[in-house]
Amino acid sequence: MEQFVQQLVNGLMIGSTYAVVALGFGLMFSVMRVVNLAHPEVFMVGAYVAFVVVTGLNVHGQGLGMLAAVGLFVVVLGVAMVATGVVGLILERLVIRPTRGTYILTPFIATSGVSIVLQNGAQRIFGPDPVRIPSVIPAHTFAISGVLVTSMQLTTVLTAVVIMLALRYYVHHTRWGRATRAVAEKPDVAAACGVNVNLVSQLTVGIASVMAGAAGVALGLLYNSAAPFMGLLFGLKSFICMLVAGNRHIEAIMAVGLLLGLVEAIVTGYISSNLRDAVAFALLLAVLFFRPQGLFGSYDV
Amino acid sequence: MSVLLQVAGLEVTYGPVRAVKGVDLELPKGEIRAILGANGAGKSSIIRAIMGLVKPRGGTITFANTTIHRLPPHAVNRLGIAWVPEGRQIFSTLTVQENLLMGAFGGRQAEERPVRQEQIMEMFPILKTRREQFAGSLSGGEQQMLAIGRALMSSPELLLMDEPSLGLAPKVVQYLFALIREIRARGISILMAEQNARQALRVADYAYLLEVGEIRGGGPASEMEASEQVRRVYLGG
Amino acid sequence: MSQILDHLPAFWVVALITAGINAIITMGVYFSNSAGALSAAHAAIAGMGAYTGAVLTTNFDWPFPVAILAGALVGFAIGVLLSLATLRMNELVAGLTTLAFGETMVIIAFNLDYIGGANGFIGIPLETTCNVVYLLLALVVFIAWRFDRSRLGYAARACRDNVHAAAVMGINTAWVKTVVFALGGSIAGVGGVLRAHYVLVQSPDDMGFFFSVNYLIFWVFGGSYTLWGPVFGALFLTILPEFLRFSLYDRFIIYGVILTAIVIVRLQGVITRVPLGRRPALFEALARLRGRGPQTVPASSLGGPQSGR
Repeated sequence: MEQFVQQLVNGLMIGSTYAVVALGFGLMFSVMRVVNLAHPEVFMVGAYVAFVVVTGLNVHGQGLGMLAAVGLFVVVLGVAMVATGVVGLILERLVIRPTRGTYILTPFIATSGVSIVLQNGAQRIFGPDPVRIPSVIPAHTFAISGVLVTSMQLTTVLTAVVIMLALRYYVHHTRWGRATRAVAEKPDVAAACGVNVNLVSQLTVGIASVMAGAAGVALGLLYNSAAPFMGLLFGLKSFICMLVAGNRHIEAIMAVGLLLGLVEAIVTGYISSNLRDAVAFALLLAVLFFRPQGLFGSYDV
Repeated sequence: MSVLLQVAGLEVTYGPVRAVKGVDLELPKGEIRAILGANGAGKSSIIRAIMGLVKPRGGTITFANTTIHRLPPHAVNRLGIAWVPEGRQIFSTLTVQENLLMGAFGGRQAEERPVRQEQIMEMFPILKTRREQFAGSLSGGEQQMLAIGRALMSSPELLLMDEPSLGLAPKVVQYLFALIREIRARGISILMAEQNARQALRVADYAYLLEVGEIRGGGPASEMEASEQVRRVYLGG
Repeated sequence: MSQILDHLPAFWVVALITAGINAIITMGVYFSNSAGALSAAHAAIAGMGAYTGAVLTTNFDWPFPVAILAGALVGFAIGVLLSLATLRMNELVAGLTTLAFGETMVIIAFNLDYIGGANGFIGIPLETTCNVVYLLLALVVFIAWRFDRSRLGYAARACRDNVHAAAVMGINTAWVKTVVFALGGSIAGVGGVLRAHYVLVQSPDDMGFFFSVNYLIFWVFGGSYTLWGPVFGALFLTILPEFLRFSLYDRFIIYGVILTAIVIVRLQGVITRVPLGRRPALFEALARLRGRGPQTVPASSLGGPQSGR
């Protein structure tokens, strides 16, 4: 039984990062009807920024007290989020804005070009092999009612949860969040209400990119590595989470992300680790056949 | 009486289709003017062009001495024009309250917003009771009230109404047009596109006849009501 | 042809053959999508045809032409399957289903030891030559040219423009969509066999989403619904990296920049002239609608290029 709960906890942790990246996809799709293929690469950029900052500062987590370690983590996170935010804003202005609103494949392909640039850029600068990121949070293992959780795992989940809560608050309780929801539903009408739709677009991509960057930092520090192609499979799975959950409620995307993490953990632990990556696709196929608009409904595409 | 809105030589095309061909119209301050025409005549296109949702291929639109035909919709809204779209188009995933707040997003006379909201709630009591409900659950008539209330939230000088009576029960239509009179009484000028010529002519001061993208006639409402042509084509003899 | 090839540096020959194969598979995408579908599975279809043909030549010593035929048949069958499965879905969901299908095939191939499993199927004899590739490409283009002018081609375009209107006009939309998609599948299968007998290895990864997206990119970039567009797209985007022979990564960085830039600047694809007997004026105007194909764009969209110009 303990083994089972342990798997669940591991799964939740990965699932929370799937959810964060999936939320970014979902935001951009529901607000702008754009599939941003460069989003997983923004996630990768976040991890590399963490690498640069941590190795640049030349500080090793093991020697730090808890408070200093957390402070360092926040700094790394902050820098990465700023960097990925900027990348997102540039991406929106140069690539997404000219191509959105037209055929659905056009921004898809334009952003795929950007993803090629980012992947190869990372290879060029850092080499094709994964780079090692030293730990920031000193390695402690907590035992919570029989289940083992490392401090970095805890940090990852906390970060993800904070981000998701912040997003939820933004969407439901702020003026611009309301405007974002309005634009997602009826952009013309929102514009006629005084909403600068271009600004909402920038905001949306910026927020999504910042979130992806944070997820990249978390995962990079969790596994102590960053690699140029780390975004590919992870991004695809997150994208599938968005598809399965539908676009109507962000809570749905959060739930599906966690669910995917959970199911993957169970499959890995109890069936076969080879099939782990198949879980997402099986889920997608099942949902596509029975509820094509996603489990919880979608806006008209 | 000063002219609030001036449209001159408006041309709107969608690809190869010319929807609006050389339309001139104006709206003096304080008046209600109607654009009458059948489905597809181009009424909506004119309204959308004024709102900035469509860039006209030619012509000019001036509002209170400002050229607006090159402006994006949110800028047009901030100048004091509000839009009640065809088919209500309320935000169904937002609550009634949130819909009203969206109307005020442009920030005109922001300090008075709470007062304005109360006034609108008084005007439409049904909205008050359904404040926290999702707008998608309202009936057609209620949604139209919400759409109008939302437009009024921006404290506009000019209200653009696109087919306000479409799809509404006759009783509701009566109430609607009484409402329109009351809005004008509060100093808001109204330009409406309407298929329901009978009702429109009762409330408007002046009407234009639009056929296949061109203005084919226009005059004070009483004249239009009496005219042979209008009776035959729009009022069923 | 071979005399010309002898004078070219080796890597040019490689590039030409690869480009030609990509062009064939992209033409498969062209056919499959011509009735309105959006296939993200063509790499998988090509791969399955490839596995079939490779097994036949390697394990059973069957002649190469038969292998090609077999690939075509397999591709056709899968095309029928996919089309029937996605018939009632809207365009986006159908596309996603093909994506999921492709990935599922990858995973299955990974676990099938008979065809090599994770290491792929090796030992395939080298049968593909430049002549063969371009001969078949010419054949495919010829078929496409005839198709565009045939009743089936017009029916497919009608389905693409407005499936309901097409049905009302008496077109059996289900039949048209399926036949057309299957046709594209068979062409992709042929391309797959050619590829397998050139690269001499067929691995599961080659069937994945990434490669299917590549073919979609060639298709859209070149000009989705034109005859020469997909060919141009495949040739250009396959050979372009060969021109950019700087460092390994720089060339792809520049490739990515060019790809993005051209898509942004020419939203409708590089080739847009559609000389298919339609009134030229109409198509001129439609081409100006930037990327939305034959449908008229509503008055405004989310801040994008506003029509009504």
